[in-house]
Amino acid sequence: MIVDAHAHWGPWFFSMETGSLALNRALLDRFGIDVQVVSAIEAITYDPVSGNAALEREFANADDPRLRGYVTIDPRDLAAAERDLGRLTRPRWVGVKIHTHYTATPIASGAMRDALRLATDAGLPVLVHTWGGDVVDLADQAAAIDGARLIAGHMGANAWRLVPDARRRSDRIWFEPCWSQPEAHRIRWVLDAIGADRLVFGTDATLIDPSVTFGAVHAARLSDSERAAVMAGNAADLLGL
Amino acid sequence: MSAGTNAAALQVWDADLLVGRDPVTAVRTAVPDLAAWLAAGAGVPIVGGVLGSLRAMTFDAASGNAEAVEAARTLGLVPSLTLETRDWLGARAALAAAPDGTVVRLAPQRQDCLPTHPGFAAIVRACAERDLVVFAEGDVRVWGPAYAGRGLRVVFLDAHFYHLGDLVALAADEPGFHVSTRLLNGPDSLEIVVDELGSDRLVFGSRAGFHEGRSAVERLLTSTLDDEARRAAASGNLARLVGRA
Repeated sequence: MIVDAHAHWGPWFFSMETGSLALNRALLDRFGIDVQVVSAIEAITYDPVSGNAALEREFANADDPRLRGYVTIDPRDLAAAERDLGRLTRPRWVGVKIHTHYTATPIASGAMRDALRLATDAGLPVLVHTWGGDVVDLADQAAAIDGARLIAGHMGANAWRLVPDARRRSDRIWFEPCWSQPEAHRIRWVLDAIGADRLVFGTDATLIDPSVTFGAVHAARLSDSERAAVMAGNAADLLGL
Repeated sequence: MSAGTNAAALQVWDADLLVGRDPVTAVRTAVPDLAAWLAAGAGVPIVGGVLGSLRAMTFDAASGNAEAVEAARTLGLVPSLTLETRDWLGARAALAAAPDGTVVRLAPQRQDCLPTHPGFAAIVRACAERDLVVFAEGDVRVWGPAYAGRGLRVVFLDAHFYHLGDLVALAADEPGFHVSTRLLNGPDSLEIVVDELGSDRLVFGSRAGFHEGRSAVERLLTSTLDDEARRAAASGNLARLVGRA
């Protein structure tokens, strides 16, 4: 079983044709991914309210049980976030997505803490975009919020060597490794440093082709137990799949 | 591998191999590491490629280029001559000593050199006059235009799929412009290059040891390129560029 805990649906403003949920489904087929949790690009880059609603319609049209959703929220508009969290619920919607760059909200900020607390109170784990040293800031937020379950998307990208530091700061943080420019030996290094119980597989599809993370995982030569945990078990537990 | 082509049937050449230490990441890749990569580090033997020196790019071109020549000889690869873009006089001397057919690697972004610097322009002009193939690091949007209009053969090693539109705009009228597969990681990026520019423009590059080379290999193998385009990207285009076809 393979669970992709970091994926998207919708068109990007780059030179690529990724706007159709059919592409998500084709990539699930091609790479043997059993469950993929997606957020709407429109919700991340433009408007969480219209983007979440658009993804809701896509789910209704596609009716593919492999696809689950993240409710994207913006820390600057928690009233809208609260409405969407009350409306978009399990089993289809299994977590919350927060991007830091597009919301102009640093992870260490009070606004981010309020957003993370709102999602936690809704009983949902949160996938947060981390890039650079802010992966440690996310761990500090996790430590400060009772009951939080936070996933560090990209596990800090080029700051991946800070993952052990972040892990030491909190028991409420997980790490997801997708990155379009993966540095060599990263996943093996992180697994050896923190163990397999905190890493969850993610692709960033349909922005990034799944082969990129698959290749990095294959390069890490996971043991059977590591594979079971990283590719499915950890995410299934965390997201309640 | 989850999908794609018959890896064993594919001959692979790697356009982007580096030996030495990267001072930015503190990662070191030595000759034995590269030998392991070539032997089947990603489940696919790599039978040829172009090798450059990080020592040459980040510290001393002369001793670094000597290191590249020696490592390439050991590994059966083509060495690239790195030119120091902050030192036109030294680069000019290195080019004067270089035989025809020398493969050049330029890393201006690592060397804090801008495309507007006169020394960089002089290096590009000299490479064009000698008809030398240039393996070019750096953001293709920033550095790419500096190579245009000269009939140069260039392999852009750091072209990211976010910048694919810029790449196509740049390379459409430059038949000598090629692009490494390494960062063309959108689900349709390789296919767009082939559709827009032709199957003779892609060259496989891994930067193994620094970049996760297996990701680059699996991206190529699992793409939806047809067999002819995949073979050309895997080896044919690079072998042709460096005169080994």
